[in-house]
This record gives sequence, C-alpha cells and structure tokens, in this order.
Amino acid sequence: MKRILVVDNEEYIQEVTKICLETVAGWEVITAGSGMECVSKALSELPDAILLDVMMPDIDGIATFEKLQANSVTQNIPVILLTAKIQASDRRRYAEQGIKDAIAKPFNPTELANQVSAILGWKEISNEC
Amino acid sequence: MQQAIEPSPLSASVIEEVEDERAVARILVVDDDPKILAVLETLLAPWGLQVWTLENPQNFYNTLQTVKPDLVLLDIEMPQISGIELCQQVRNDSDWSDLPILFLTVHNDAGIINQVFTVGADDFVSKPIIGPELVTRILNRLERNKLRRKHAQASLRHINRMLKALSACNKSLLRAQNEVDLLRDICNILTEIGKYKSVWVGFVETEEPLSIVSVASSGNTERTNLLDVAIKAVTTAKTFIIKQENNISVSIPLIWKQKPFGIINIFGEPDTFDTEFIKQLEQLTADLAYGIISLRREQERTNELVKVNQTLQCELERRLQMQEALRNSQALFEGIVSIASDAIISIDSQQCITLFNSGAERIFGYLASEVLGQPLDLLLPQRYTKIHRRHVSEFETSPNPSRKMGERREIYGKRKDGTEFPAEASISKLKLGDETVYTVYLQDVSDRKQIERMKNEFISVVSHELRTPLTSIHGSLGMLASGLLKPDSQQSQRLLQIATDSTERLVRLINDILDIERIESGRVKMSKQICNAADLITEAVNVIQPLAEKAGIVLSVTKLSVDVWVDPDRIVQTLTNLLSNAIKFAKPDTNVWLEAKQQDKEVLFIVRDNGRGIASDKLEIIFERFEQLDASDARRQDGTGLGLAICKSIIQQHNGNIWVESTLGEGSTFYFTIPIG
Repeated sequence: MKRILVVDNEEYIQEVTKICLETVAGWEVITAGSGMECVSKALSELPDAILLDVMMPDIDGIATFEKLQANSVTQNIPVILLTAKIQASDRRRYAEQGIKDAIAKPFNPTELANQVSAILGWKEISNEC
Repeated sequence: MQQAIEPSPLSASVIEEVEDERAVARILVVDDDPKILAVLETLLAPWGLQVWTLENPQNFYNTLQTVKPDLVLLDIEMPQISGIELCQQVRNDSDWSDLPILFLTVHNDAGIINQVFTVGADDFVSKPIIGPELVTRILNRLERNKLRRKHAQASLRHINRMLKALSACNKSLLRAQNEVDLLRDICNILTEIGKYKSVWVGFVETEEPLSIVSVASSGNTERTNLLDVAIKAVTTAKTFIIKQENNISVSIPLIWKQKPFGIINIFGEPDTFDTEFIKQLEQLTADLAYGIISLRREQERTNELVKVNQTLQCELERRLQMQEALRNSQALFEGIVSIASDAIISIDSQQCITLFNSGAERIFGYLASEVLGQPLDLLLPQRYTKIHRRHVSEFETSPNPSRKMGERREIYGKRKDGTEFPAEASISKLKLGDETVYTVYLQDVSDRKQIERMKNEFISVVSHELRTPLTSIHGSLGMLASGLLKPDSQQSQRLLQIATDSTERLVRLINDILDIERIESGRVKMSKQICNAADLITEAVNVIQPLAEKAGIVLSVTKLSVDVWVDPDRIVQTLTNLLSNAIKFAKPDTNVWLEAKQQDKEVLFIVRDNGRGIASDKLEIIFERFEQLDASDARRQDGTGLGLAICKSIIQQHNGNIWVESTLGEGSTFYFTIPIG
C-alpha cells in the first residue's frame, strides 16, 4: 500500500483529499499543514509520494520542494504540485526542477488517484464499488 | 487865289462821319508862299477842318510832332528843302508812315509826278488850286484814313482781345486739373475775353454712325445747325469754316495721334476771324487736344494709383486679419498645448526637440529651456535610443500620418533624475514646406501600470481564494456522488459538513469581495446620519453576543453617548468584525473589552483582547487583503481574509483612522477614530 503525504494549509482540503485517496485507491494518507511540517513529516514517515500545495503562507510549495531536494533522505520522493494556477511555462519550469507534475485545483475527486498513479507510473487503480 | 466854295451836299454821310469824330481833323499846310497858305486856310476852314500853316519847312518836323496832323499838304518847290525831301523824311519815320500826304505843285511833268509817288505821297494837286476838287480829295483822303484807322484800331483791339484770350487759355491749360472745368474755362474765355459770340466743345461719342456730344459751351449756341459742320470737320480732320447769316462759324477738330476725337466750334462776327486768328485758334485747339489727353492720362494714372492703393489697402487689411487669425490660432494652440496634462513634444527631422509643453516638463522633470534643441534621446533609456531613432525614420516614410509608439512592445521614458517609467505614446507627422515635424503625445502610465498590476494580483489572489473552498466543495460532493461511500458513514457525514461549511465560506467571501470593491470604488455611498455612539455599540454587542457566549468570552463594554455623523450599518459592521476577531483569538474564559472615548474632535473606539497577539512586523499588513498572520494559524475556516481590509475601507470613507497595537503572547488592541460632526 502506498503512503501519500498530502500538504495544504487548508484543513478541509487536507481532509477531502485524504478521504478521496483512501476511498478510491485505498492508500494510506498522512497530512501536513505547512512547508515545514511537510519536510518534517517526509523525513519521519518517508512517504511514497508527496502531494504538495503551492500557495502556502510561510514557505510556498516550490521552496518546500527545494528543501526536500536538499535533503538526501527526501530528495528521491516524487512530488506532485496541487495548485490553482498552472500555465504551460510553469509546467516546463516544474519539470526542469524535477517536480513530477502539477494537478489543478479543484481536482476531480474520483480521478485524483488515477492521475497520481499515471504521473508516477504506478499501476492503474480500478474503482471498487 | 480862288474864292471859298460853299460845301456841296455830297458826302453828307462823310460829313456826319467827320463831324462824328471827336477829334476834328487837322490839316498841316507847308508852303513857302504865304499867299497860298492863306488861300488854303480860307478854303478849308469852312469844312470844319483845323488848318495849320507852315512857311518855314525847316520847322516841319517839330511842327509835325506838336500838331500831329491828320493830313499834310506839301508844296514841292521850296527854297531850303523840297517837299519831296520832306515827304521822304516823313515816310521813313514809322510814326508817320500812315500820314496822308498831298503835294501841291505847279509842275505837271511826268518826272515830278513820278517822284511824288516814288517818295510815297498819296496824291498831288496842281496849282492853280481848284477849291472843290481839293477839298473833296482831302476829305476823301481823311475819310479813308479814318476808316483805316478805325479798322486798324478794331484790328488792334481784336488782336489784343485775341492775345488776352489766348494767354488766358494757355494759363487755363497749364493749370487745368479737370477736363470739364478746362473746357468750360476755354469756352468762357473765348466768349468773354475773346468776345466771340458762342463757343462749344464736343466729343465724338460713337464712330459709326458718327455722333458728337457737346460737353461745354458758352454764349448763345445754335448747335443743331452747326452739327453737320462739326461732323464734317471731324470726318476730314480739317478746319471747317462756314458763313451763317452774317456770322462765321469755325469748326476745328481736336486731334490726337492723327485721330479726331472732338471738335471746338467758334461762332462770331466776320471781323473777328482772319487767317492769322484762325491759325492761332488752330494752335490753341492743338494745345487743347494735348491738354485734354494729358488730363485724361493723368486721370487714368490717378485712377490706377487709387486702384493700386485700394488693392494695397485690401492686401494690408487681409494681412492684418491673417496675422490676427494667426495670433489667435497661436494663442489657442498654446492654450491647448500648455494645459494638456499629457506630454506634447515636437521634434524636427533631426529628432531634436522643438516643443516641450508643461505636461512634458512635469512628467520628465526638465524645464523646456533645458531640453529645447536637445535630441529626443535625452528622454529615453539608453538601450532604446537606437531602435527609437530607427522607428522614427521608418515612420517618416510611412504613409500614415500618425501611429502609436511601441505597438508591440513596452516603451519607457527616462526622467531628469534618471528614473525610468512606463509610457504610452503616439507620434504624428506633419509636413511643413520642406521640413517634416513630428509630434509625440506621451502619458506616464506608471500609475496605470501599477493599478493594472494590483488588479491582476488581486484577481489572481481572489481566484485562488475562491478556488480554495471550491476545491473542498467539489471534492466532497464528488466523493459523495461517486457512490463509493456509504451515505450514512462517518466519512460521508464529514464530507457533507465540509461541503456545507465551505459553501458558506464561499458565499461570505464573495460578499466580502464585492463589499470591499464597492466601498473602495466609492460606489457604495456611506449613508451618513447623526447616530449615537452608544447605540452603535449596543447593536454590535447584540450581534456578537451569541458568538461570544459560544466561545466562552465575556464582553466588557463601556458606552459613550455622543453624536457622530456616520453610516450606522457600516460602523456596526466594523465593530462586529473587530469583536469577532477578538473573540476568535482570545484565550477561553477571558474578556474582550469594547470602549468608546471622546478625544478632542473625534471619538475613539477600542477593542481589546488578550489573545496571542500579532508580531510587530505584521501590524500594518494585516489590514491588507488576504493577509494571513502566520503558518501556524491555519486559515480560520470562517475567515475570509478581507475583514480588516473592509474595516479599514469603511473607516477611511469616514475620514477616520484605524490601527492596532499588540504584544505577542499578551493580546492585541484595535483602535479606530471617527471625527465628530
């Protein structure tokens, strides 16, 4: 079972995302409410992937990613950005930096897990009834 | 010696004439024989003639001078001087050339007679003297002489008159200013001084058929009869003289350049004309023709000069008007250019500045005097100067009279102090003669750019803010609808709750966004009225009471009864907002204080809590939109991030101030003031 770290400063989004992924994909979901919390939880929980919000008050998603990259423990954990705004130029930039991809908010709750799997090259999730 | 003869009845008229004459005729008889003298004296006296006798021919000359005889009887043979000699003497003297001289002689021979006539004597009478014959001859001679003298006198008088008239005519010609006056003058002179009966001057009016119109006349003119004569004179260009009744009419054509253009007709008694006079009149006419033509030329010249003068006057006036119009136009232009708040800059074909209005001075920070003549490059950042020059050169040859500058790029200006600013400009060109002048209209759009940036930022932030609750709603409902969860499961309930709360938050957010936009744009007019501060506080407390109770917070309120000029709903909204924040951040089971104080000309409202406080570097930015305090404070779910921004906006609309004082860990105190009245 995959372990996913969901990072967003909005508690409701954390909860909704958690329920989506748990229900649809059956993954274990841990949450963090800030960039700093993300790093510490990543270090301690070693998730298989991190879903990372970009617009956060303290340090934003990009800075958080850089912190993760700087740490040998976390640098290999694939990161997908969750963000309200994505432009073609952003995607290019993210790719150059090593971010796997970005998913737009609001996301499709039933499709989110599949999107994540596709990006990370995991096997497809089949919906359970 | 013969006896005196009684005068015969012959020549009664002659006697009449003679006796009419004032001066009695004087006879001088010169004979050395006194007996002859006596005989003659006796003979002639009864005829009313004064007789002087002279015995001594030596005194002849003197006697001649003294007596001044009308006739002289000379004896031929006299001792000292012969009558012949005397006669010669007399005849040589021009004074006496007219004097009738009769010789008395006994001689008969042809030789003497020949001599007599050779020396110029008029007649001779042979001795013995036959009384009646002598008398007759003398009287006849005298008569003839008298008539001749009369004629001569008349002639002289006429010549005199003629000369006077001609002189006057010449004077008139010389002084003539005016054709009509000249002609009238001439006519008058000829009739009054020249004593002609009538004179008229006519001009040719039409040539085919020839018609002549009188333009001046004097005396009694009977023109109609004389028109033919005039016509003839004009047609032939020659003087025409005809006799009419007992008078003579002379028509002399006025000729110029061999062409007759008029006629002068002089009508008078026959003795007033003779060849010489007519010649004089012809000369006068020629002079008159010249005079008329000169006057006309002068008139023409004068007319021309008047016309030229008028034209110049008109031209002058036109120029003055144009100058006036130009001045007005210039003033108008200057007026427009100077008051324009945008920059208006003109450059010549070398791209040097020729015009720099006050708007440009303000925007660029230069005085016009500092930049005139300088190249436009001065006003551009270094990196743009070359490309700009190229663009202006291209524009010179383009068919468009104007275009926007920097159509595909941003353009920047450079101020005197070196700072750059974004600008919008358009350029137009105008061909003035050989030169092309360009005019640039430029606006400093830094403000606009900033506003645009702020707007874009705001939109971006709002967009993000809206998506946040939307993500929760969309996710929750999506999951609930998927059928993957049991409807009554804990998770389903939770999702429903999240969706509901998020929807409410979305609604509040949208309301707040609209609110703050409307307040700040001034579209919401604060409906200010006189309110009592105490009432406002009461109302705010009422609204917030349930929340306070729920949070276990006790409100401590100090009212102030003072009238303020405010929009009550908005002030209550502000108070509610501050109280709500205070309650949220306050430690449980503590107080939140609300107070109102009067300070000078304003009312000070105070909301205090002892929550965890606010870091000093955030004390100002928390009044900005969507500013979150710190990461540990995960956004309060029901907060929109606009509350304090809205409060600030409302207070600003009331000309008040709002601020916060805080100590981290101890609490925060929010203040705002409302001016009284």
